[in-house]
Amino acid sequence: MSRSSREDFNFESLQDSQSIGRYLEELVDGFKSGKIELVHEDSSLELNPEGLLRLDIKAGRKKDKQSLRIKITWREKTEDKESDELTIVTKSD
Amino acid sequence: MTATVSKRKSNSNETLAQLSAQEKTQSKVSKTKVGDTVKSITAKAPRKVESETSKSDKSIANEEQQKKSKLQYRNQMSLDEAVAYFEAIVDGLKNKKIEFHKNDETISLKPQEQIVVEVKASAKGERSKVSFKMSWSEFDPAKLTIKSKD
Repeated sequence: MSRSSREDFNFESLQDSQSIGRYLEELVDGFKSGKIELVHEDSSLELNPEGLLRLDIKAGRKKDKQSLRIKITWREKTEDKESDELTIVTKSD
Repeated sequence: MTATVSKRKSNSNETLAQLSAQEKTQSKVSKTKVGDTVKSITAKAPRKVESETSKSDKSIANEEQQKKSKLQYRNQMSLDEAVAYFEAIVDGLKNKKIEFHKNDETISLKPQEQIVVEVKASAKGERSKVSFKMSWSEFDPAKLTIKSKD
């Protein structure tokens, strides 16, 4: 699925650790099934993770503040990707 | 670079979510299928064991450094490996302790009950990304006492 325009989804909230755990578990299930659907009020975004993922983890602490950021990026396949494939054939004789 | 995740139960029955990065030449990643009962993928990360009974100047300096520290890890991996990292973090959240190890770097986080979560996702063309940021303050109830007078 290729998108011509950029679609964004943003959500920020104060939650208890159990809720955060459930969010992450849903995210894990989404990665396993290849479909992540983010919905909040009128905003929604569907993502289809596949193939190789780039995982970026940042963990930090400063005085009494601690933070953890997990970022995952990937490229979704497009239907015309096969036409971009390169084949090189060499003959030894 | 290749990534490893391991989760183990310590003697005190706390789950340690361990993240490490090792040179590919040093070790091969043995993949664990999601849902396996054995959670450990590899456990070759360098670990430091420090005795709390003999606090040297070095350990005090380390404690000071631990008050302000950060660790970053970035790597390309298969979906299964990424899921294993996520599951280790989920376990750490449940057990209120997440410990990250990357080569000689270590950072230990203690998630609190109340966490600010920020979820961002975007998709444009073939590129998609989702980020999940959590932040919290360490609160020590012993620091504050409030009494009301009759």
